Amino acid sequence: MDTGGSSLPSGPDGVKRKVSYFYDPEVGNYYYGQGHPMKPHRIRMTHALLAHYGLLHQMQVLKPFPSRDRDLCKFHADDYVAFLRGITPETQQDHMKALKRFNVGEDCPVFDGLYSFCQTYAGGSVGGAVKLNHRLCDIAINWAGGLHHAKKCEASGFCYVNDIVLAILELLKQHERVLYVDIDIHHGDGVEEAFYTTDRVMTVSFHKFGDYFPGTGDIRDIGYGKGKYYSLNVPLDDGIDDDSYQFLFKPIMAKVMEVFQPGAVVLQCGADSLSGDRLGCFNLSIKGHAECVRFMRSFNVPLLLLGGGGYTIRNVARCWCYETGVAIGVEVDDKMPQHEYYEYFGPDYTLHVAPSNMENKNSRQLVENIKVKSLQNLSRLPHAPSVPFYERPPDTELPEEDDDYDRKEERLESDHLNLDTEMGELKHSNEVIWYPDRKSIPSIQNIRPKKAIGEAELKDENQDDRKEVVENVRCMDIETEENLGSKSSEPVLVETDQPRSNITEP
Amino acid sequence: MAGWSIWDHGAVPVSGKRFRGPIQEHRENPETRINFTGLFNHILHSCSERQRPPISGFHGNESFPSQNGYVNTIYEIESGVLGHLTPDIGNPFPFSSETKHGSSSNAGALNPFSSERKLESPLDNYLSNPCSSEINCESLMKTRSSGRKREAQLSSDSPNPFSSERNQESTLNLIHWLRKVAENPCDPSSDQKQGWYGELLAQNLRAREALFLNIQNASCVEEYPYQKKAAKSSRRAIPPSTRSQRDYLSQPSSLLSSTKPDQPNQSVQRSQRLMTYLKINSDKPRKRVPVDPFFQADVPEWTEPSRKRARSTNEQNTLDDSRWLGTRVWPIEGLNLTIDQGLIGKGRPDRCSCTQPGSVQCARVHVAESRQRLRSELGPAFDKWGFNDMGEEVAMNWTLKDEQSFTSLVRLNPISKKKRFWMPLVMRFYDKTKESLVSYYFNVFVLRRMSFQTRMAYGKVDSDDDEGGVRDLQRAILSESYVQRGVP
Repeated sequence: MDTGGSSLPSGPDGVKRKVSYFYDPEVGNYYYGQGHPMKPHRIRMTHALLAHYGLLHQMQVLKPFPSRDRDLCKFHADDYVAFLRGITPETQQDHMKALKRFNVGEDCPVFDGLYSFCQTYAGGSVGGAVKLNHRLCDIAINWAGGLHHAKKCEASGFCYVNDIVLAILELLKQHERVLYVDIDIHHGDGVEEAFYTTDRVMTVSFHKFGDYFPGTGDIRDIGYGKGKYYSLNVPLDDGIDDDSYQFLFKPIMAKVMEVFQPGAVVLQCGADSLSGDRLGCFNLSIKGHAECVRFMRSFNVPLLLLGGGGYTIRNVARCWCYETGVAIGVEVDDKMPQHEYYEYFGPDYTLHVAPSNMENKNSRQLVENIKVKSLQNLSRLPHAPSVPFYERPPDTELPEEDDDYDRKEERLESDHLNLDTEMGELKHSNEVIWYPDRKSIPSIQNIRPKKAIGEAELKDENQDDRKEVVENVRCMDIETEENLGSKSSEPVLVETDQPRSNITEP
Repeated sequence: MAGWSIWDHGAVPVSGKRFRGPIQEHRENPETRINFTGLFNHILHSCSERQRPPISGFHGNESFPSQNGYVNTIYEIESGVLGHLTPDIGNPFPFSSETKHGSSSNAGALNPFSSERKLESPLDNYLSNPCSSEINCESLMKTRSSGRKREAQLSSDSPNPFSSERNQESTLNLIHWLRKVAENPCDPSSDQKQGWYGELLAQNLRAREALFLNIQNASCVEEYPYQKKAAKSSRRAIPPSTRSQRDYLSQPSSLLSSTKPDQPNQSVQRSQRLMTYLKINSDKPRKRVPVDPFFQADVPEWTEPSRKRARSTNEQNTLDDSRWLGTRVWPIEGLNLTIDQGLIGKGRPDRCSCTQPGSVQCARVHVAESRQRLRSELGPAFDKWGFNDMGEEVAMNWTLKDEQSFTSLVRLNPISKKKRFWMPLVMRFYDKTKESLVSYYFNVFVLRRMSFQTRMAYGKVDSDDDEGGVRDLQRAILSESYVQRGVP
């Protein structure tokens, strides 16, 4: 099984991992209401499938401890948590204002046991994080979690409490940097928003973008302040297949892992990006989806696997069962064992289903452009963030710090509008400097992060990537020259290029 | 409810409640939109009321009721702009105080005839509130042209070579000049950069800057501090020549790529294709991530946990954490089960010896066998994980009559007819818990419905179609032949 991953020599990819799996037997009976696409029953279906495949034997299975109010309040607003605790279907009519305020009602209905449902799924995710913190396992799984839309004081997109944010906050107690990866078809807006201004959490989301919920996830949203360049959005179009997806996922994630060097990874495995999802419009096979899990697992970094979306519930159970197998290191049979929910999987009763023949609206050109743009954003990330720097002597000519950020933000945005600038800078970043070249800035010449690894080595390692990007850029140049008519092929070297200097930010 | 039907299409409305600020509401009000095309046509039409300028692609509105001279035309345009902008003259856009001041000082400009600033105020007003309309890229292009053309007309009031004679030639010259400026406002070959030309140029750049900021700033500034700054800087309106190169390039006005030092003469177009590729050419305003402690998680600074401190807090943490680790259900302590490793990940056997392979009965038999095996493997964990309450066996606790009622109630209350079965079910089965109703629904009802759908060869089996195949299921249950008690 060639994974194409980046396993460390000390732990090749084939090695079995210690896996902890959180499951609450009550979770299947929470019911969002008639016709609501979100069905926690899918988690029970997954569990039954795991049991009959014999995968539970390979894991430590835990019943999560329900999160308490004060645990939820580590991220959420007190009044929001109090509201969630108090609201019931019977009393909701008396709290119309609060319902509106907290966006509870339509997409996020009030149902029986709502609060205990939140406590359960949040408890599983935080429990998984604690397990990883204590190094009691290599991979922790909570398929009930991954509700990535919930905001600090607002429910959104079937999500009430953001268990991912809570779990990441827990991981941050032990790890300097945590990476969040989101392969749900919807943008992971709640998590991105929560960590938009910090460099300790990097969020990467692959999602459908354009006239689609929640509407955020523009490729230009890159983070703000200290968190600038620590949010990465990969917008995709309908019908993306395994090949196009992996064409983006692998190089981007490999680069993220290399540059960000997280201490732990949280992977939200929303299964609505699968082919045939009731709400989705991607065309991924279960193997293509699970390839993301396999790839992230191959880095030998503590990994928290969470659920998320997924509205064709039999495919969700299929997918998460297969991905549990990937986490353990077991390739499960296609022919499903007879089990309690066997009849859900007719007429073939197989684990894998063929993707549809829907059109892939993501042209090669599109995915290549997105890849170039994403790698370009990543190239602006300094290595090993969060490392204390020496104070830079104040430079009177430089504008105030915030303004500097603003201008960079504007510049980046203008890149999209201004093709010429974009091409110029792209060349700049590829041909002249790929990694932040501190030597080019005399005033910070001697400032190096403690953790910075030999840059020359890293540069060498990235020769291939660089070549690839440069090639892509050339492709784009040909494209754009058609549009622009006469255009200088010389790279535009702007000495005042700012992104490099952000390594001096405290 | 609006939200419910949307699920079926996958497209949930993109407007979140968080972003529904005054701007958004204003933006959504078509009354307040600027009709750029109309404005553009109006200007050109008015310019050419005596002699239509030979501009290809221009389609003037013949019936446009303009019989005034240049100046009046300008006033009309201003009124037009203001007329569209005035609905939000209370400044719904919470700009910086600087801007608020600007817009209030421009209040007199509402009447273009009453103020000395009548010629420049609309633009200022517009600049001070650049985000007051929904602008997509296309309309932006038009606006840029129209803005520039308007400025050129402003110039017709001033002593300049084009306004002295209102004959065909001057109109043509004016139009040519306009087009030239429109194509490249920063063209250094334009001979005059001093005096009123310089003024115009600065104003022009300001307009362009503000219009571009529109794309970026399509959201409430209060929530987005970086945009507030950007908006401020856009109002500085320093002519490019007075800025240092470094400053200039890093300012938003670096959008004016043609002013880049190494490409002074190129007017650069934006590649629509690339913008489409990168999916940033949406007509909808960009939804931005709010920045405020109100939205972000509180992430502490990373500190290497020193041993001393770690020890003191560890005891507390350990207590806390041991609780978080949950209750271990598997592997069961003290229970030494021997698991055949060869069975891990194995599926069902290729064939069975049933008389009717693939039938409902066949499946039931094998599921029961499988459960039996699992029970012996898992021991007490079987119950702890709730396997007792999984699958069709849940029906064992239900009488045939109850099952029939349940199926009937579900069938009679389809959501497609805006009916709900939940309350009727709760009322009918008042002696059962709600959990048991949900359990029966997913473990028995949906399972049987799908079992039927599969075997009746409907063509499409959908685990999440809550209504399909219910009638057949009901018929089967009523016949009693389907529901067999117990496990064979």
